[in-house]
Amino acid sequence: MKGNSALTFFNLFVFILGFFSTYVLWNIGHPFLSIALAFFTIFTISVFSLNRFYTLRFLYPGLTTFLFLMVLPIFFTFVISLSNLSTGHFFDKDQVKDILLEESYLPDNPTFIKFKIYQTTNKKTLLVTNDDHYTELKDKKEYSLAPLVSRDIIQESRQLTPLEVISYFEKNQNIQFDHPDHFDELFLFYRSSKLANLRSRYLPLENDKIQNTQTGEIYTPDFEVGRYVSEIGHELMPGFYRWVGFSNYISLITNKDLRRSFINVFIWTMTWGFFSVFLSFSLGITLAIIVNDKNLKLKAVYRNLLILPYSIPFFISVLIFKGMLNKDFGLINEMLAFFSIPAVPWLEHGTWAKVACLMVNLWLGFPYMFLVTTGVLQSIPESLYDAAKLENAGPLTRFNKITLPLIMSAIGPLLIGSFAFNINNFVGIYLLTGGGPPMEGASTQVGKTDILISYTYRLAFEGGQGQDFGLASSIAVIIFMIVATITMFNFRWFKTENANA
Amino acid sequence: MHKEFLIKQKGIITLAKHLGLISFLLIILFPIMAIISISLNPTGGIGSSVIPDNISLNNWRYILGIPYEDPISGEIIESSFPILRWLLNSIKISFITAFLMLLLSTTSAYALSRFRFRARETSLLVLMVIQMFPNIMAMIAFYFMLDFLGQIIPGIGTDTHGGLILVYLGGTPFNIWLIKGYFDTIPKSIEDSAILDGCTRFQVFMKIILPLSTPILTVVGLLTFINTFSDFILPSVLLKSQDNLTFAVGIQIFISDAFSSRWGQFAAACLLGAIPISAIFYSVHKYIVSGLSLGGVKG
Repeated sequence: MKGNSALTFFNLFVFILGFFSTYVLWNIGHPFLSIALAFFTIFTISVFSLNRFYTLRFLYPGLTTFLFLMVLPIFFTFVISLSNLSTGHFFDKDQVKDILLEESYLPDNPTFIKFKIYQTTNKKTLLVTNDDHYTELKDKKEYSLAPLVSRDIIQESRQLTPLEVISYFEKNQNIQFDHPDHFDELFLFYRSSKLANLRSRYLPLENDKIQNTQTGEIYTPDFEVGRYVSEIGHELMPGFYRWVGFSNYISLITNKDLRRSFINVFIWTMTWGFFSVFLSFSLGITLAIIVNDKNLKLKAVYRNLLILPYSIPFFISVLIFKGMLNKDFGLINEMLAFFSIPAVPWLEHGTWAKVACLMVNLWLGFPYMFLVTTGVLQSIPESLYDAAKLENAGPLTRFNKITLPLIMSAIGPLLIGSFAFNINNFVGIYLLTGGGPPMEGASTQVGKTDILISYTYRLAFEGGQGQDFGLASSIAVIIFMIVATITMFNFRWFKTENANA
Repeated sequence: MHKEFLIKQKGIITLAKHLGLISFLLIILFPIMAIISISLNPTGGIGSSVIPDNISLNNWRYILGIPYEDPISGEIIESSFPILRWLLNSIKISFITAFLMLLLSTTSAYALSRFRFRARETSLLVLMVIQMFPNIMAMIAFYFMLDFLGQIIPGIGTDTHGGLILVYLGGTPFNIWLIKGYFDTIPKSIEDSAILDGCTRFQVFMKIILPLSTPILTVVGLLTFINTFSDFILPSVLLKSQDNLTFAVGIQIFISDAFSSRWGQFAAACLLGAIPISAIFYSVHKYIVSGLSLGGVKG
């Protein structure tokens, strides 16, 4: 069958690709990843060749992207939140040890090795030391000197003048030389045509300890501070990351300053989410009822114009508003000045900034509520209202007893979804205020309009006071838990609504 | 007499509605009108008046990378920001993401809609919960994952479009959920006869279900396109070099350090980015009412 041969070809392709990648991964030093990939390849081939996994074959594309690009990142976020990964703590302990062991210094009285440079007849450039070692210079950064067996090769070669030597090394800077007789690398004094042996600043000892060769101080990796620390308390940079358990979470509660920032951000996140939904829903439903009048002409025109703000990408609208809300030149203050109202510090003052965020988000969000409530209103049969009119129910009663309950049962889950969206509405906050104005006296980068997600972003990627991936990830995990709770609540709602129907 | 009064009252209410709606629209659409006017204003600083004295296309020339002569100083001005390139980057990334998302989510949606298997209920519950998580929450993990992947496969590391697209593909649960909702509405009887005739499930899916679903697939594709185009946070975390940026990140950098001097050019750039997206939105917005609110939520 045609389908089967395509499937065989696909399996063969997966097999070759999978095991080639496994082999490559193993060779470049990722054994665990390589084994995991081998298992994954076997899994893929069995799904696509065994008939008992027929259903899984359909689910496979969605399932794998979901596992690798959703579940795994969430898991990694949690793992990072258990570490102190931050500025000054980017490497693991072994990497830090290697970095420190590579540090070297020029001792007070180094051994000098003079050298000369020759241009041979066949256009080679040779560096020859006076202790009979040589290397060929050819635009590299690192050279290893080798013993010179016979001086024949520099016979009839032209020796470069000191001036030519200097101009050569000025064109080719940062060159390193290794010498077989000297353990440490050599430092180049090209103006006087000599090499000097550098000395390593640290020597490795047992148990991961290192010793400073000048002072004799012994440094031990300290897992409390994530750095190499000596007996008398000297700390070495860079530090290494380490597992800190739940201390990022604990510090959000126990550290007085962090707690204050976190609680403020948390309260504003919830307030912002609630009012964003409440305001845009109220405005949306009002407009939907006004427009949804069978006697109103130009209904389609009104509908299409009312949703115009929603059709523009959010980031564009928010940036436009940022310009319009500018205190000194913005259009909005200019118009207020026309009515003799003094300039409002929209983005500079905490409370005004919050008002500005909510106003802009109302502008962005009401058309969505208008759209969905219009949809529900159109589906309510006219006969319901006629029956109510026969019972002498006024417009307000009709709204409260018919319209609102029907709309709520249809779009209740959407309101909760909208709340979940808005508490993570990064663009609505960050592009308008950048989280600012800054919260007074806070030790981290945090502002009065920061919501949890923008706080996470600023802790991790705004370098001002150093990046703190560990703390940022712990806040991201808290957001995950909030969204999960909301979703479960939504699911409950949806289930009971279905049971009632 | 009483009836006449009622009719008159109705007429007044309708008139009030029209007046109210028109004034509301004037307030709501004011920023958009202002931006159009500013983009055509040759002296378009942030404080310049809403109605321009004369109209010029210099701001548009600037953002499209066409050199022009400055009316006051007489210098030839050419933009040093690749604004058009950012727009093309965004379009490229959004298009590829939308296409791959459809490719990856339709078969799963079909299985969840048609097959009865042991973990189906659990899968649906997990899918429903997961599709609520915006992927930006895992931005730190994505950053380190791409950083690591880039050391092995340079094409999908940080600061590459491949890496960014890969990260977006994690959004399949939302699309699966939408498409499954539509598949549920296609009657099963169509497939049953095909299966009786000896078609495999996959053949049924390819030859019957997919052609029937082109409208929904188009809509989901366009929605993915819009959402990807509008994303700010992931490209701002993952992309670095100026030529690689997406429109959202580029335009934010373009305006944020010079709000007052680049206001006119910024207005033109905003319109350039907004008009195509707006057009796509108007072509699919009906679905947002019928599909997302009802079909999307009901399992």
